[in-house]
Amino acid sequence: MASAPTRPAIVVEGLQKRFVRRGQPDVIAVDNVSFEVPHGSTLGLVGESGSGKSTVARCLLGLLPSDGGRIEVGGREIRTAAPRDLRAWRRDMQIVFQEPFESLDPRLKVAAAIAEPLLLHTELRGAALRERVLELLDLVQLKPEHAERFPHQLSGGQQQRVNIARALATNPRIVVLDEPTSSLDVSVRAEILKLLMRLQRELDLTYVLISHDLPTIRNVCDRVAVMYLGRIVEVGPAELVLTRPAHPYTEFLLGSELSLDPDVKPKTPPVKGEANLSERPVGCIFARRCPLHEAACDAVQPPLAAAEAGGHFAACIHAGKPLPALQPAASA
Amino acid sequence: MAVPPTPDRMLEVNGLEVTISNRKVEHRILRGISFSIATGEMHGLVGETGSGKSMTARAITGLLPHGGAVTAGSIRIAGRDIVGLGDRELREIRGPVVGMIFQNPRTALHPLLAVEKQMANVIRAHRRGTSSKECREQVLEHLAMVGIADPARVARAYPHELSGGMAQRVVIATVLVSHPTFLIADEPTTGLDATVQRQILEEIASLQQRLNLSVLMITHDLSIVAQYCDNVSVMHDGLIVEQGGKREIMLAPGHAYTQRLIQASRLEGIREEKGSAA
Repeated sequence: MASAPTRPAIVVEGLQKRFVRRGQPDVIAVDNVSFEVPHGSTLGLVGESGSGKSTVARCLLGLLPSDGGRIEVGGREIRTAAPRDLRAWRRDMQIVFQEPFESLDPRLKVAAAIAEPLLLHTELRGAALRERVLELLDLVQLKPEHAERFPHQLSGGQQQRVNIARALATNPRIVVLDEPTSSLDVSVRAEILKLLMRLQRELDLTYVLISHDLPTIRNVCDRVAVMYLGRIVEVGPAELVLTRPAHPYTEFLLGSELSLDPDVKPKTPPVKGEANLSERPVGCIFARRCPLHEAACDAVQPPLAAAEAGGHFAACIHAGKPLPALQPAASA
Repeated sequence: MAVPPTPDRMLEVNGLEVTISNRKVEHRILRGISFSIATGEMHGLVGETGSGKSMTARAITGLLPHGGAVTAGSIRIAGRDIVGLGDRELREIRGPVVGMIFQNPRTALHPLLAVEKQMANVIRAHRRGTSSKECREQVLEHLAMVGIADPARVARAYPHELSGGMAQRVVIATVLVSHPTFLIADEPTTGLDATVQRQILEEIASLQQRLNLSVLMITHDLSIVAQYCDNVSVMHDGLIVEQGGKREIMLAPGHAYTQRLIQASRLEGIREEKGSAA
């Protein structure tokens, strides 16, 4: 509220998170991650298992303590704030998880599930509470009769609508969406994404969307940050990152998207090998798997550098130069 | 019993009906479906939750859940009708003829046994008296066959030490030790990362070519069908609503349900909902 309207809704700078394991080297889950999310926009955090995207989200929500850096939400630094100062901020920031059923208490009817955050964060009781619950049901396109159902009596899509209603109950300004449609059927995925987009427009919400589903990212995000082994390797406006990837990893990731058109073949060969969290090379973190690897890549970790105008950055020494095209798969 | 000569149809399902009953009610889960798979073909069985696609796979492998029964129709695998066969006869088919891989590779592996040990168990189950040395050679050979660069290291590993993609490769290698000619893959890459999904699908396609396997690819993902299958059957509510070559189905779907499914897969209209947001 106190912040100037031009200040982004979320500013993350140099975020660090490591997990300590007994008798084994620490896992550096998030390494020097920085990004901004403007008000009312959607940032997509894209990456594969172990890339740190969910850890970033959990640090952002204060569900996990982070080890360093800055997290600024609505103009307030919250990473180091005292827990009791964070109550209002928690109300402002909510999350929707991947597993719609697991996110709900199986013994609570829908009405009670949606009322829970309202009882915690607002003064609403009795008829007023009931009215707000019905209003939220309507907001997510559920009917009043759904209020009396238990989670197991709902379809996956309806369950996720209940989770969205719960998240929106306290009028948050920021919602983290952690793979919100990954476990849903194709037709339901489209409906839920449409709902989320409409809610964003109507309620002026800021989204951080975590997803590995490229079609979702392509259709939903304004900006995209690509993560690999705890680092952001590429970030920028969605239309630039997704159409002119500047980091070879991004190019492989986009190249792995399978077209619905049988005549459109994948653009890149499958990438070799797997990401390994225990390796922390001095130089580029993707070098071992990169077909463009050269000696200079091992010297120093490349910083995010402008790949082109318009706020498109990539952490690759080749960034800014056109990447030599990765050859299409020669079928084995 | 004589093994029939390699037929040109690996699988023929005709008018298959499956009913699941508990004490009170009967549910017709499959309501008369027919499709066939030629030798060397990859056939996509596509549908959403509850369409009956996984139940079809279970019927084909004789693994219907408790209370489930084939109430009409026939299932011929390599020319032999398997409906009504006993456990013993089914075991001659599962493994040596039909291999199965499922969605969550780790649940298909024994958590307490190293990869080599569990693969050796499978080898010995099919060929009793195989020597340890022979077992080890076969384990390494099959791990290498599915594109594992360091078979000796993977052979020593326990399932929890493997990534999802590596675990699925191990499952495929384990299936291949009994030399099946027909592979049923039920959502084999769901839950895997995009680049890993791509690697596994390429591996399956390459094995299909090299070993002339017939593959039944069960998936909810139409892009897998578009890229890897030859023919497709689209399932909805226990019925096959449309069937044909992947090009005709993907580019000119005839049935309204198929059209809706393709449209939903494209995520059409999402941007429009977004309106003029930042």
